[in-house]
Amino acid sequence: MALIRQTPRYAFEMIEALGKTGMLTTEGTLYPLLSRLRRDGLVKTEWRESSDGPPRRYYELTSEGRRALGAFNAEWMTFRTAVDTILQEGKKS
Amino acid sequence: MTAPHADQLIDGYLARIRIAAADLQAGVREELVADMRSHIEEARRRESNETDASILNILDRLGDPDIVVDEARQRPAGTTHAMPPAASTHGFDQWKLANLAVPGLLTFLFWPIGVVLLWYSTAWNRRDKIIGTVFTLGGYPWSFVFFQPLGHILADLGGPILSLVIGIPLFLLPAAAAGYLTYRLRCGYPIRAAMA
Repeated sequence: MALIRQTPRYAFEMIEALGKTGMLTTEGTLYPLLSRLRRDGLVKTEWRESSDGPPRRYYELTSEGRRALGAFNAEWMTFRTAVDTILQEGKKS
Repeated sequence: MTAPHADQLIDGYLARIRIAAADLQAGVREELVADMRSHIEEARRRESNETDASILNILDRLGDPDIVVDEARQRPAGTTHAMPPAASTHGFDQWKLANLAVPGLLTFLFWPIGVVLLWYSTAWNRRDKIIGTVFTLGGYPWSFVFFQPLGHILADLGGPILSLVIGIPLFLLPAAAAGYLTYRLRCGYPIRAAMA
């Protein structure tokens, strides 16, 4: 969801971006995940014409999706801070 | 340039997706297949020199169909718990089964409640829910109410043998339906840890 926070993207584009980070080892698993996000109302989709092929389905966050992403972001920051603190303590000892 | 066996390779992969997704709702399954096909076509357009090997690489990167389809069976997005509902409601789903068929536990109200909970559950697909609704015959109290008069009619028509021949399978049907739902609960939806 973070990938489409600023601008809508189509699935292949997101897969390429995730592939660069090493987060997505099985590309096909993104599609059922995106379908679930859409059914749950966290993303919405729109078909757009493409200059080099058939129309593409673009994904963007809904307001509920933005809230869910914000909540995850807050939890992640708390978790990351806690782990960093523990790791620092471990280094000192 | 088109790879010589592109259609064969792609159709074969999509057929494996369909087989792996046979227990999913038809709409979900067909949407997944359409997305896979769209992705493959997008990837092919970006190949400067398409060969059978490049097609196979595209399909390899998409992933094993069983793994892709398993993702479609995961818990709804937006939750933060680690375990999917199939695991967290396992005991509760079994309670629903008990309410549907087991004698001694049912009252006349428990079967309708069990049916409502069955249809709200994410642990079974639509086909299983229909089986659980229709073939439990209202649970044993209701089935006794409806089929006791039937048993008398059959006994009058064909004697006790006829009432037993028809009555015994009908008597076992709710328990068989509950057994089927238990089997589907344990074997049809493997429990996986979801990503947080």
